Order: sequence, then C-alpha cells, then structure tokens
Amino acid sequence: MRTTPLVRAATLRRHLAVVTAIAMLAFLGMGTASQAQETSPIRIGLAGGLTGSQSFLGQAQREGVLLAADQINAKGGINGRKIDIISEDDQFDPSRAAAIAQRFISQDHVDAIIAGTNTGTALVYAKVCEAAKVPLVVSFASDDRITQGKQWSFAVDTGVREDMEAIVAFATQHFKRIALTYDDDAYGQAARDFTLTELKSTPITPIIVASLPDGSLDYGPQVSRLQAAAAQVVLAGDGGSNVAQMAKNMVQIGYRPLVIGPASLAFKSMIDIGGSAVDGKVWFTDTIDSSNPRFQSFAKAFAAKYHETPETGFEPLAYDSMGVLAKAIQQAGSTDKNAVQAALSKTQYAGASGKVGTEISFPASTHRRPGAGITWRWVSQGKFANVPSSLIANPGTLAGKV
Amino acid sequence: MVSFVEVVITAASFGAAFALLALSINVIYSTSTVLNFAQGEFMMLGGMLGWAFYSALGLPYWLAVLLIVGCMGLVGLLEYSLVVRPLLLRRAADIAIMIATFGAAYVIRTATALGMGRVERPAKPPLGQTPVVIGHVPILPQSFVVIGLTCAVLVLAWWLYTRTTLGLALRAAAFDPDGAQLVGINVDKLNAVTFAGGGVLAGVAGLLISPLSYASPWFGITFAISGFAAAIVGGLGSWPGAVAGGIILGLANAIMLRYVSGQWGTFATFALMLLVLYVRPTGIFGERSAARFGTV
Amino acid sequence: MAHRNTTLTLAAVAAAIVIPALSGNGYVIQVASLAAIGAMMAVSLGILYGHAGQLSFAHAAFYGIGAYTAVVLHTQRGLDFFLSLLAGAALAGLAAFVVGLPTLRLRGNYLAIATMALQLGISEVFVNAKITGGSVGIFGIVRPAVFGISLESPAAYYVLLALAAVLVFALAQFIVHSRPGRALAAVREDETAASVIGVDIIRYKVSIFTITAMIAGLAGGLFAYQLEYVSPESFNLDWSIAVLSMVIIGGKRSALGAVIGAVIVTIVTQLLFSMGELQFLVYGLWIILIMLFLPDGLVSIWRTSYRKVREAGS
Repeated sequence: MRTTPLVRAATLRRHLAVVTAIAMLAFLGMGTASQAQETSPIRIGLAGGLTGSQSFLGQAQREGVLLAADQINAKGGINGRKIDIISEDDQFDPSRAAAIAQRFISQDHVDAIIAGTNTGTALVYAKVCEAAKVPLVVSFASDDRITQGKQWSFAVDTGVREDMEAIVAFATQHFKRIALTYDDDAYGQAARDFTLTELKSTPITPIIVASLPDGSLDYGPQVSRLQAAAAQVVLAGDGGSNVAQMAKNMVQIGYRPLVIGPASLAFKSMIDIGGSAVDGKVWFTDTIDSSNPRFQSFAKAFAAKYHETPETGFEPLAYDSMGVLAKAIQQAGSTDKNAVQAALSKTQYAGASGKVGTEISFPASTHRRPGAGITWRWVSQGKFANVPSSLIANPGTLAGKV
Repeated sequence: MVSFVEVVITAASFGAAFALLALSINVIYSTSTVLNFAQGEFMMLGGMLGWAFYSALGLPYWLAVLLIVGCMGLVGLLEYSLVVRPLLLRRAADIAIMIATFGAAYVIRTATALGMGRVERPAKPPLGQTPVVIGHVPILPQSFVVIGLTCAVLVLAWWLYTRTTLGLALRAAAFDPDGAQLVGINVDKLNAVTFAGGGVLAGVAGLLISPLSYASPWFGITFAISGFAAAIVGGLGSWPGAVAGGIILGLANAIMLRYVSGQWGTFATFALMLLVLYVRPTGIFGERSAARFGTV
Repeated sequence: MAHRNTTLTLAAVAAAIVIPALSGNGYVIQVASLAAIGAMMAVSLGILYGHAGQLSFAHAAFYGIGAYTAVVLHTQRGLDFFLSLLAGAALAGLAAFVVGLPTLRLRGNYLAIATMALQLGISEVFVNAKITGGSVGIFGIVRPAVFGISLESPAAYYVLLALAAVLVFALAQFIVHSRPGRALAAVREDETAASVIGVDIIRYKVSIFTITAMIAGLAGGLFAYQLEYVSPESFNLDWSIAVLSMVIIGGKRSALGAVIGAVIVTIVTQLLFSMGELQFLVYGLWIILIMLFLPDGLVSIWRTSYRKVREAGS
C-alpha cells in the first residue's frame, strides 16, 4: 500500500519539526565555553580568507599573528595569561564573516578579534564588533570607511588613500601623460576613486581609465589603448597577477611605460607570473622598511619559524596587529573590553611595519594608523627590493619608449 | 591599423583555444546530450599539467603534450565511468547529470589546488617570449602555436568524424542513439570515447592557452562559461559551430574592450549569448540539428 | 492522526521560530537567520527544478536584484519597507521573464546555460554600476521598524525571516497542488503528452520561472536587512550553486525536502569552515554521491523507512 501524498507530507512535516528542533538545540549546546577567568588564556578570534585564489592574504595574516602570539607566550604571556588564537576561514565572504564574528563573540567568548583581509568582510566585522562592544583590530583592509565613526575598530594599515596620494604626487611631478587602470574588486575601485579625486587637484587629467577585470586571460586590448594614447606612466590600482599579465602584454608590443601601484601589487604571484616583464618596470608603495631594526628582528624570527623571508608588508602588518593588541591588553591590566578599547584608543606602538620612527596610533577621527611612511619597492632580479634612490629622483629614463 | 591587427591576432589565438573547448563540449553533447560542466576544469587542468610537466619538470614539449593527452583522456574516462555512466544507465534527467558534473568540477578543481598548489603558475611558451615582427605587427610565437595546433586538431577531428568507422558510429549515435544501438553500435563505449576525447581536447586547449597568460587552479569556471558561450553561439552540438563560436566570442570581447569600453568587455560575452538565444536559439550552425534538439 | 500531525507541525514551527529567537545567543540567531533565508531560496529553486524540471543558475542574481532594490528604495529613498521588498521581487521577476521567454521554448538545458550567462552578466552589473555602490557595496543599512515594532535586534528580525519562510513554504504548497502546478508536473514527466492534452507548456514554464525568481528577490531583500550590508560577493554564482545543493540534498520533490536541505547545508557549512580547501572537495563529493545514490534527497530515506514501518505494521 502506498501512502497518499497528503498523509506523507504531514508525517514528513513532523519529522522536519524534529530535525529542525534537534539541529537548533544542538547548536545552542555547542561550544558553550566558560567565561574567561584571570588565569585562563586570553582568547583572540582570528578570521581571514584562507581559501581560493587570494588565500595567501589569509595565510600571511595567520603567519604574522601566530608568530607574534608564539613570541608573547614564550615570554610567559600577557600579565601571566597565555594567548589562545582561534583561527577561522571567512572565504572573503561577508555573510560568512557575520556568522564567524557572531560565533567568536557568543560561543567562543573571545576577548578581541583580529580580521579583515578584504573590504567587504572588514565592514561586517566592524559592524558586529561595534554592536557587541568587542575590540577589533583590522589587519589589511584599507578602506577608510571601515573604521570611520567606529568606537571599537582599529586599523593598523595606513589605507589606500595614503598610497594613492604618494603615487599621484610622484607621477604628476615627473610625467605628463598619465593613465589609470584598476581591477574590479573593492580595493581596486577605491584606489581608482582616490586617484581620480587626487588628480583633480592637479592640472593633469588621466588620458585613459581602463579596468583590468580579475581572472581575464589577456589585457592586450587595454594595453593597446594605453599605447595608442601614449601613456608614459600607468597608475595601477590592481592586484599583483593582473599587473603581471598587463606587463606581459606590454612587452609583447614593445611598449614599456612605468607602472606604479599601491601595496596590493606586493603579491608573490606578480613575480611568478610576470617574470622579466615586471622586472624594473613595476613600482609600488609598501609599508615594509628593511632598514627598520624591528622589521629585521621580525624577519629573522619569521624565517626561523616558517623558513621563508617576508618580502611584503602583509606579514609585518599582521604581526603588528597582534602586537598592538597585546600591548593594549597589557596596559589595560586585564581583558576588560572597555579598558582594552581605551588602551587601543591612546596606544603608541612601534612595530615591525612602517618606516623607522613611525608608530601605530589610532586618531579618534579615523581609528586608522596615520602614515606608516612610504617605501618605494620594485621587482629586481626576481625579488622585491627597494627602488634605488637615484631612480626615484629621476625616473624619466625608465619610462621607456612611448 | 598595426594595433588593430595585433589585437585581432591575439584575440584569434584565444578564440581558437575556446573553439577547441567548445568542440570538446559538443563532442560529448552530440552523442550523450550531456552538458559536462567539468570541461572548464579539464581545460584548467591541461594548463596546470602543462606548467608541471614542461615548465617545472622541464620535460621536452612533445613528451609533455603526450603525457597531457594521456592524463586528460584518463580524467575524462574516469568522470564518465564514475559519475556520468551510472546516471545514463538509470536514464536520469539531463539536468540531473549536469548537476553531477558540477560536483565533478568541484572535485577536480579542489584536487588540483590541493595537489599542485593554489597559486597562479607561469607557463613557459615552447617557442619563447620574443615577438616575431611581421610587417610592423609584433606577434607572440605562442599565437602561431595555438592557431597552428588548433587547425591541426580540427583537421584530425574532421577526418575522424567523416572518414573513419568511429566517426560514422559517432554520427549515427548523434542522429539516433536508440537506432544506433539497434544496428549494433555500442553507445556506452562511444560515450566513453567522447568523454576521453573531450578531456583531451579541453586539456590541449588549456595547455595552449596558458603560456599566453598563466595557469591557475581557479580558471576552470571562467573557461567553462566561455566554452559554453562559444558552443551556444555556434550552435550546441555543431562541430563547425564550435569553431565559429569560439572565434566570434574572442573577437567580440577584444574589440569591445579595445574600441568601445574598458569596463564592460566581459559583459559583452553574456549579452551576445543571450542575444543569440533570443534571435536564433539553435546557434549559427545549429540548423541541421534543430530537429534533434527539438525546438518546441 | 491527522490532527495530531497538524498540532505537532505547528508546535515544531513555533519552536523553530521561538527557540533561536529567545536563545540570546548571537551565533544561533545568525545561523538560524541564514537557514531561514536559505530555506526560502531552496523552496523557490525546488519548485522550479523538482516540480517543473527546469534549472536556474541565476537565483543568486535574482536574490541580488531583490536585495539592492530593497536597500535603494527603503534605506536610500525612504519607501515603505514591505513595498520595497515587493518592488525587489517584481524586478527580479521581470529579469526572469525576459530571459525565460526565449529559452523556455527550447527543450533541455538551455535555461540552465542562459541563466548562468544571466548570473554572470548581472554580477558584472552589480560590480560596475553606480547605484549598487560597486564592489564595496552599500553599508550603513539599519533594520526597519514595521507596524511600530522595531526589528533592529537580530532576534526580532529572525522572527520576521522565519514567518516569511513559513509564508513561502505555504505558497509553494499552494502552487504545487494548484491546477497549473499539477500540469507542470505532467510537463516534467512527458512534455509531448502534456502538450497533447492541452497544457500551454511555455506559459506555465515562464510563469513558474518568474514566480520562483520573485521569491528569490523577496529572500534577497530580507537578506540585505539581516546582514545590513550588500555587496556583489553575496550574490555570485557560488550562492546559486549552494542553493542548488540544498535542494538536491534535502530532496527536490517537495518543499519540505528543500527546507531540510537548507537547514542541513547551512549548519554543515558552518562546521566545515575550518577545513580549508578540503571543504570544497567534500562539497563536490556530496553532490555527486547524492545524485548517484539518493536522487530524491534525504527525505526519500524518511519516506522509504516510513513506508516500511507502515507495511510491517499493517
């Protein structure tokens, strides 16, 4: 005998009820951690994109933070309490970020969160932390709007604005025919908008504004446009692999303008993909300063732990995210969130990122580090390196045939 | 003018590779009516294996090509026997099979990323990077490799299809699978052959295209979309249509980006595809097969 | 028996609404909210796929259209919250209608491919348009107050989401059991026969596609105010595929299966977060395994075992 559909549906609905109820209850019971006590570890939630094509950002963040935490724990922790890092992968997805942030706060009862490998997730973390009054350190995401008007979020990178100001000032000082490219993620579009605003205050208007969409195989048509307009310098608010591919397309047609971009170019993949095409021809601003003794000791510890040399600003920024938070907790004398928030608000932290003499601080108006100092970097013989100062003074010779 | 020719030739090289991918989609589709979404991942895998064998391990190019042909044939065969065949035997709906191939695509992509690293890889072109200048137009040697090898593969495919017993069986099965079964053609075996062949074609397309840009485990979905767009524009199931579709889309995209807008280039691909579906749903070359695919 | 079932069902639905809302646990509320939104999406795609035999890869795009429309009209232009939700649903339906009209005339998989093109094309619009805020999207959205009740707390908003999910579920039951709904099932089984007995196939197919897109648009509008942030990352092909996986895992033949699938996929996804790249391997494998061994999803296990129990008892 077959049951009738209606009876079946009713029975199934009852089963659904059971399933849903069990699932919800299971969730309620999950991970109900005890509240932090004075001797228990300090819990830090760490979230970033650890999967997909941009996963190296999440990796760099995790490596930097874990190194700092290890060092602090080896010295006995903060105020006698060890640091416990709970790491999660948000896949750069805002709605996953919302769930992770809620879990950190309601289930894991973290004392603070370090996160923000892209703009979208950082906006969500900042929103959730603001509502829950949990201190958040934003590691990489560089959009000013993330921390603006927020009490509980603090960004350790200087922001794309500062990069683009330096880049525009440099380009307009030395060149007349300036073009602009950008990729279509939030960072690229923000870089484009800042550059266009910045250029408005100069007599120069960009001759071409072209998009280099992520995942395209060929930027030949865009490069052909740049060549036809005889751009001497191409400002690139792009990711490293896009610029590498663009440089290859430029080599192909024998057109070698100088390409200048922000720290987003400091991806290892740019060297891997671009090879000789990016050598000497692609400059970018970065917060890394190899003459900074704090950077040097960080780099040594990093190499000892991971058998790799940190070559970009990302690893020291992540390291400093943990460092600045640890110092605030220490100064607060406890993990009391209000005290930590107050300590972060008036912190002065000399870290491994940024130029010698610069400090991480969070002005009330922006809650973002003001000025890490720009270091001009380029690719030289297959490695990231500082641009020689003679070339910075006179880059005209590099613009090649136009 | 020089820049126009240059743009067109590069676009044609990409178009040629996507023509191969569209052909591989049609080869599988015409006997089994399976739309195999793992094809994009096949092409991605071809590119990554090309990097591994030729750039990283330094094997001779011909050996790398042979190894890729072997590996990709095997991958196609595996997908068929593990995922598609059981569903075909059960006479599952086309859409159910398509969803299963989506699962296969995830597996291939993730396995590649886990096994060969999840970063972009530079693919060394066999004839070097130095452009050849013909009448002021600089052309990458890889463009010749892509267009030349694509033509060779197309001629070979055409010969197989029209001059051999296998080709006859393929055409019979495409025309009427049940009838073909009745006259003693083993459609199951034919399907296996088309999946292996589809894997090889897509893999070769990936191998050819990656030196023009780079190899990345994340390219599969982009490839799949471009390949299906080319197949739709040319006419689903039509072999010449695949070639035409690939070239047309390659050119449309490049000309759009170069001369119209630096921003909406990829959008043109999707718009063109929807337009074709509106005006001529069976695609440019799809007419002869229209009855088979049954427009209502 | 029937009465007991109804009572139990109502009790369960009430529990599913009340327990998370009163839990006071932000994570439980968040996940329950995502499950409710997933359930609406899965029920919508479930009708289209399971009942009408068509597949859409553009459900995330319709969802996105609904989300942006609701935010632009309510938060930015001050239109009534419910009206802006309806406007979002209507726009999503319009997009579906325009794409469905040519492709639903064709047999087989054309709709699937056309909707994939539509999904990617619309994603491109979300990324590049001014009104959507580009890739950064629109933030600073605040949950609304309706009928004088503030929904600003996630718990209160979850109640709205759950009620909307119940409404969508009821709508799905109505559609499936209506005359056009039964006709669609006939179309799925045998298109030629259905057309012979006078079913206007294309009209029914286009209507159901449009209606399911409207449900997706509604879910998107509700989602925008749950997250209080909209950006293109939330409306890409991955989400379309995630919804599809809910449908096939739960079971494509019933709205109930879709709901179960949504709850399971939402929770399992949370548990898989820390697996790194491996989670996608799991994802691909479970799609394949379900297609191979459980084509009617997990609800078919209940069905079979329930039937066995009945037969053994009688």
